[in-house]
Amino acid sequence: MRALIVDDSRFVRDFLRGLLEEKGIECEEAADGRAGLVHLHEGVPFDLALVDWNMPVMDGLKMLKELRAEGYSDVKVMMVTTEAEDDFITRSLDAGADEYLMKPFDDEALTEKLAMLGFTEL
Amino acid sequence: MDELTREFLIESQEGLDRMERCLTDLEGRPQDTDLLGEIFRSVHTIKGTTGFLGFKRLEKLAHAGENLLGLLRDGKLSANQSIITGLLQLMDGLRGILRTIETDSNEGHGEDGQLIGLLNELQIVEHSAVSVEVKAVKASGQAGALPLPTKPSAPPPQAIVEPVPPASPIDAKSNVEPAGDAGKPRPANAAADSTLRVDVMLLNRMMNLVGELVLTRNQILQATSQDPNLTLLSRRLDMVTADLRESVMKARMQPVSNVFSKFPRIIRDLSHTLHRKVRLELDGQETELDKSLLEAIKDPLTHAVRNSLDHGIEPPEVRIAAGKDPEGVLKLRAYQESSHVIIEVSDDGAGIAVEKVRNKAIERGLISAERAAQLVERELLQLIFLPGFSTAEAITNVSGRGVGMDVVRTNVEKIGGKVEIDSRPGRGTTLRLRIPLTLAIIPALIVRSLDQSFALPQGALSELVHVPPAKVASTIEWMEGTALYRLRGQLLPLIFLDRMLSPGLRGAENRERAEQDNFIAVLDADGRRFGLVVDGLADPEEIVVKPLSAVLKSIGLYSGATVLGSGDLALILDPGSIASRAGVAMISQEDRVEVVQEEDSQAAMGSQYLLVQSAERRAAVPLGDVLRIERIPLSRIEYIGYRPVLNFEGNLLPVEDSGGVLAAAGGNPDALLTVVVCREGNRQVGIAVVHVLDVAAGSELFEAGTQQRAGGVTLLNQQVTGIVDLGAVAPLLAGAMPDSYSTADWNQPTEILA
Repeated sequence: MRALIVDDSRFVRDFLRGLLEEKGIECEEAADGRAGLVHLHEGVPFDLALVDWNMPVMDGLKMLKELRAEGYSDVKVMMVTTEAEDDFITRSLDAGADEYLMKPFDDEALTEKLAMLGFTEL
Repeated sequence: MDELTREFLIESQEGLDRMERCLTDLEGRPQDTDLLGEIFRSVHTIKGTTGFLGFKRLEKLAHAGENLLGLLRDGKLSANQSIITGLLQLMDGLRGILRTIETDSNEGHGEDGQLIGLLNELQIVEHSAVSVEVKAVKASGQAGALPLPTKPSAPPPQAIVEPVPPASPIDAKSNVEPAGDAGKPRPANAAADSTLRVDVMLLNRMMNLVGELVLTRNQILQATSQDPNLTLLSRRLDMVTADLRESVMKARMQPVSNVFSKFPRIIRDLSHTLHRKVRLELDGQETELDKSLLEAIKDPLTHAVRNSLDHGIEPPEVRIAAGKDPEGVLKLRAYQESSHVIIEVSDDGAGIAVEKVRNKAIERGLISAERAAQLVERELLQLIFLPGFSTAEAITNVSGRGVGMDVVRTNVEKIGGKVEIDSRPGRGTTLRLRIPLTLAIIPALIVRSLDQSFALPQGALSELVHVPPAKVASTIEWMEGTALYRLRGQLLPLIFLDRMLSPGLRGAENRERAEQDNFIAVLDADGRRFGLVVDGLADPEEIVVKPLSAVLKSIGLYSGATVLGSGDLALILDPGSIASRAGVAMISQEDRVEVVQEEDSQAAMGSQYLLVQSAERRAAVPLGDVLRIERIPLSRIEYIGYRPVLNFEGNLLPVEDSGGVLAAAGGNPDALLTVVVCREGNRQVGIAVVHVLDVAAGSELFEAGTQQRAGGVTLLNQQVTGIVDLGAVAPLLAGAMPDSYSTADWNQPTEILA
């Protein structure tokens, strides 16, 4: 299974990659929404995208809308956000996100959210 | 400090540097949303990431800053002088805490209440403002009323809070400078300042250039060796080059903790899945290894750890029944041993059931039942490294995925390393990975074939055998077109390098071979052992490995190319490919076991010795300590005081002559004698002998003290032979001073442990 991590923080990308790779998930990284879309356009399908909201160049919400508009419907999108962004959760779920994950999170929280998306036995 | 925390510190400091640049620009363009967005993001990222690491104090401060910045970014507030000053104070406060984290690994107990209060005030004050003018007045009034400290009450984070300058529209401009950081001592960003991210490509290029330099140095050393005027200069060049090479190599090093750090997690998850209780102990995490090698051992190490949990450490019930602590211990240990890094994975589990291994190997058809019956414990353990071997009773999703210990061995050997295993039933298993420090510069033996030089990596070389013309017929046997050499009672398949290089060449039959000297390099590669026959041997050299062009690579016999000290080019032979090209692979598995068996049964009896003839008597030198055997004229021996010494490759070696070989040469400067160069701790010593007799295995009898300067005696080829005690060879400096010549350690026999 393949996941796309989109976050402008190297720390968060490393952290997520560490957790996901432990589960045997192959990871690609992008530092902003635009770069994330470029990864999707490369053609190797992703099962999951973990998307931060506040990023330079293109933010997570724009990327999410763009991605759904372009017809990437098979990619499950998990928005990764901080607690200050409550209304963002509703907005992103409306825009086609499948799940959200609050920062900071740990492996348990991530695993639980992955399970909600149907990625079990990781 | 772990890798993630370090990453966090560097990223946060980079963010604050960006913030600082933006704040300076903001004074000129207070409405610039891009700038405000960028500043917001810097603080937002710190706030978002600090939660992962639990730095509450930092999070609180960043949170207050984020709130203020959010209003600015959304245009609900516009930046003025007092706000910019407040933001600079925020930046300093954050930097102070980051610095405390970096030095103390915790965020300290400083009080940020006043700064947070100020940041909150700035929101409220400005938020309620209606017009620019009123806002400015209010701001300056309110800000002035605040009990602004000139120094933070918090001691560790040197957040220098300045009095907020009055922010009236009139003097706002004149306050641009003081609001900045001019002339103020800033807390240094130690992590960001003292470390630098360097492109690996650049490091590779530097390594290449240093390689070129080493080659040039080797040539200069050879060219100037006869010129006393240049000797000093070239020695200096030699030293500087060696230092430079070391430094560049060091730049490529990373601590093994980078790999070790992922194991606590793996162990936690695995022990859960497998219902084991395991405590992980890490040791030697600071040991450093070349980055590329570190990458390469990640998988083998993970596999070894998984194996330990799956097959080694028993479930708690079983452990209790066996009288053990229900919690098993898995230990990862790294340490450096001369030019190798050793990584050990040991557990206190059940150990490897050798009978199970035996049965499984027979069942899998890896070995015949008759042969298996002859194997002793140590040899049986080696079987688990055979491809297709797996002791997993059932295929679990942890191990037994069709890959086994053979993959561990192959991966480690690919980078020039070795794998050893040690197991005691009921007590546990230790797997030892022996990894070279670097791949770029390796010791190699230069061999000659068809009038060309080739480099043979010494890692694969186990011994050299000279077959003079007269002995060819009696020692090399031919079976169905394959040459075999009888080496201490075993048959060693031979590959003739010249015939392999030009297949049309005849002359591999004994008839032609008997016309010349033959040298057999006995090689171990990919678990195969064979002899490579070459026409001649030259010096060992430290060679710089250069990659091959695609054309040469496709030949498949070479692993690289190098330039020798003489300036000649040489291709580096790849023993593994040579063996598979010659078809040694197929017969090797069983053969290897046989070889291992013979060796191990010898090893079971004792250690291997180099048997030498002194003037009067035979003596034995532990083979593991032998570095080189040099044949030199007596004139090469010099004396310091009355200690004989040998200038060997620029080092002065004390020469041990208890056998009286030097005296027996009778002062004839041309008389040839043989010096066995040995390693003794960190130094090298030479032992003068008449000639080398054989290599043999024997058991040490531990009769230390029967003879002065002898470390003990051993039984070699049914003869009692004295072992040369290398430890007793006096250090050169002590020996040079007559007073300390007869020190206790010279006369006192030292016990050698087998």
